[in-house]
Amino acid sequence: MNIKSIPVLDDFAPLPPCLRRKFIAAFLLSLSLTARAAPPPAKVDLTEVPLEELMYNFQVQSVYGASKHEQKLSEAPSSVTIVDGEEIDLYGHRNFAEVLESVRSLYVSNDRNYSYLGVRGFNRPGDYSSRILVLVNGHRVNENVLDSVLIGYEFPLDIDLIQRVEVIRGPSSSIYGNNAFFGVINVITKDAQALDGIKISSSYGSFDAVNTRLTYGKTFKNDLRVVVSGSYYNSPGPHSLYYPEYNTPTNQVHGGITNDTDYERYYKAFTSVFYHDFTIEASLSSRKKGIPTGSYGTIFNDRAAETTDRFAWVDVKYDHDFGDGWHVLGRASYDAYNYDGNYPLLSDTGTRFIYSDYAYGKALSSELQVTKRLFDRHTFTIGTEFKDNLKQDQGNRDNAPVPSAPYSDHRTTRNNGIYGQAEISVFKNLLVNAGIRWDHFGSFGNTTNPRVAVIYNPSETTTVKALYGRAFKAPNAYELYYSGPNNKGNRMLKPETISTYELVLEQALSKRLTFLTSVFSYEIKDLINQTLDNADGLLIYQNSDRVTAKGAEVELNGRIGGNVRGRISYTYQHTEDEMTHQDLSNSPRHLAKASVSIPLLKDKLFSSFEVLYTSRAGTLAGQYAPGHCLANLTIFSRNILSHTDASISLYNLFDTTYRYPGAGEHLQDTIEQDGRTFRAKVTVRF
Amino acid sequence: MMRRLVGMWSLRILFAIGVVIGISAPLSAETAELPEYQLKALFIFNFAKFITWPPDTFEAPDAPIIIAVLGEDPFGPALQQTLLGKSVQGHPIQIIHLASGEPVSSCHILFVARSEKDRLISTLEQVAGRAILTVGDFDRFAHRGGMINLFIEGKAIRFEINANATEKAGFKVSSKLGGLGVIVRGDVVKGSVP
Repeated sequence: MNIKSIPVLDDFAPLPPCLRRKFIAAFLLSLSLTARAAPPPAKVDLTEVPLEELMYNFQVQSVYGASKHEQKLSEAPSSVTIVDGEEIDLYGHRNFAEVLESVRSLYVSNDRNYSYLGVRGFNRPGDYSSRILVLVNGHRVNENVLDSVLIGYEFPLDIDLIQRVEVIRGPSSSIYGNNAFFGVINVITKDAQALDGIKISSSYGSFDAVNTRLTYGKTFKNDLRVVVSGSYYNSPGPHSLYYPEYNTPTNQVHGGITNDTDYERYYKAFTSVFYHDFTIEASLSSRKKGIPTGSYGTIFNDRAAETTDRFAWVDVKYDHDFGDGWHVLGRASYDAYNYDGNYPLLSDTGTRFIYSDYAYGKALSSELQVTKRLFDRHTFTIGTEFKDNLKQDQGNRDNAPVPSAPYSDHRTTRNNGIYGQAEISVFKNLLVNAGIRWDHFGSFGNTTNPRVAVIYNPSETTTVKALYGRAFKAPNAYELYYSGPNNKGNRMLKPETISTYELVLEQALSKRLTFLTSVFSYEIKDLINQTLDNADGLLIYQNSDRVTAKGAEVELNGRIGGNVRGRISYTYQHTEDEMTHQDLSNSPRHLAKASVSIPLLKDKLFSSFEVLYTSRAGTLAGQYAPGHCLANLTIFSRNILSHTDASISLYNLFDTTYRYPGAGEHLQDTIEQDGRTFRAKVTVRF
Repeated sequence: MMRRLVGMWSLRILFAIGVVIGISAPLSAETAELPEYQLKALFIFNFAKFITWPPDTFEAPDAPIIIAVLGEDPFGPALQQTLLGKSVQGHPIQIIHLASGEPVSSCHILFVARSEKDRLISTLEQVAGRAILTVGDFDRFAHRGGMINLFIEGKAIRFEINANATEKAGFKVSSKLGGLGVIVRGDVVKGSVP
């Protein structure tokens, strides 16, 4: 359903010239003063470091996702950011979207129904996040009807189980196939050793939001490792929200006030069993959200408007090192996804009825990958993936006084892919990483996607990477087949393709501080767009658009002043739609982020804050959601009492008004987000 | 109910926070990240530091101490780069590589690579009774007769010491090492040659 959006007058006073440049300059200045205050660290002879320090103050560094095997950060053929699970505690992140929001190149928007992820300027209103692939321990989480990933509280995994997140930018279809368009995000969960024992966690936050979690981890004598976790969240949401669009002379509903419709609740369960080379994982989640915005022309202030998303999967993995450089990975998994939406509508005769739509996906997948390391310098990988979409069902029905005929579409399709990658150490300081993948999709046919990266170390502390890659996003079941009263499917759709060039420079300023800068340029062809067929007045998806983008990024991360850790980054991203020659909607040109954590008491008390700046973003009506700066502050204590961690967090510290662009289904051109909120959390270990 | 937009006073607070970072004294120790095998090389250096070889093992107080890597070398350049030119207990460090299945020549520390997992017993039989400290980093290395096993816990390196094997070979393990590692009462592999 499509509602033409009307321009909205911003009811709030016009902004003074945004202080963003002054604020960032002031912050950078104070940071640079700090860097000069601490003397540059002397070149440390590591053999002089005492053994206790090696055990307690040193950790192993590695990244898994970029080439699908353990790899040093600087050798990965991509620009990678690693978010440590500890940061989720330090910065008080409440959901996966808040975790991703703090990462360079990423930005988030929210319409009070779902959260959406933007990468390098791309986050069109109305799109679902299907141009990024999210994995949990290597298992594809994008569902098989819309190929999308849900990143807010609706993300299937409880974020307290996260050991680390690897954000791998750039086209990765040469390894991962579909949806690895702008990048891949690999989430690695905590293992039994890290979770040893029982943990009970409870939190209370604004709008009476309550979250409870029970996690159990154990390593048995025969090396059997088990993790089991379950959590529950319930937030009634703000008691009232005001939307001026529903308080006009021509459209008056309840004075524009909606009560108790922004509710959210979920339950999530996860288990992982590891024994010798086998790992079995299962996940179950269900999340229900009330829709307060009156989207899709639903009756405003009606509590029946809600969506429910459920995910379930079982994944069995075999991972074995055969010695002599041979490594084999095998995986088989079963995934199920269910979406249900209920929308209260008014019939022509003024009778209230419920329109519901649904999607139901089931798939069986398998994967086999073989890696060989040669002469300890080169690595070769080949792999194959097979996916049987047992069900890709969509449909709708209603109980109107004169009900429409229920619609349902059933599909089963099969996809398979085969890929290869070679990492060749040409010289000791020159690495070439080249890969290619061929995919066959039951729906559209074949696609081949290459990637090549040259990684050069002019010195021990400097890395230069030059990358080129192509990736694709297959048309999903909704775009291909969904036909309703207003739309029709398009079997002729081809996949979208993106070609990306990127140049990255990474410089280790000291053992603890890294500076990074990159420039990128991408072109998207055959972008799938919803268009109107004038012949029959139906909406249809076409490969009708082209988008180009250029950008540059800078980041500084690590530790300074001895014990302060953090990340500060700036991204300039400029997208252009080749049809309109304008910036894409919801494509802010500037992103600036700073996350800093300062210990107040050695190993026990931390104060961490984040400042996130997003410049103005275009809306569908041709207006702008103004640029905004958000600040979050968390005080976190580890072992405040024995075996107890506690934290208190304030989000949107300065109670800033900020808004995200709405999509076609919203009367609102922009949707206002929450003001200052808080959360107090306690975790007890047994 | 108009809500405040970011103003000058918040700018000042952020600046103040920046200053607080500047004057915060170094308190807690930082956690640094190193590649896995560079870290393990440092552990091996520390084992050599805190273990006493049986008397008469070394020909002279400044005779070289030889670290041999048997099998597919996981260190890459890390062992050489980290330990080259260093001495431990007065003995300059020398590093040699032994191919899979090659007989173990004269050395003082033998690192047994994962590739030798299935040949572990025959390898340990070769070095039994020869005052060679055996170190490995795979599952059950210490339980099956190796002397020190390196393993990863979370993201940190830990080690297990097979006290039976070190005692049988005549090594004296400093209480410092014994206190930091996990003591395991593993097997003792007897020599194949009497």
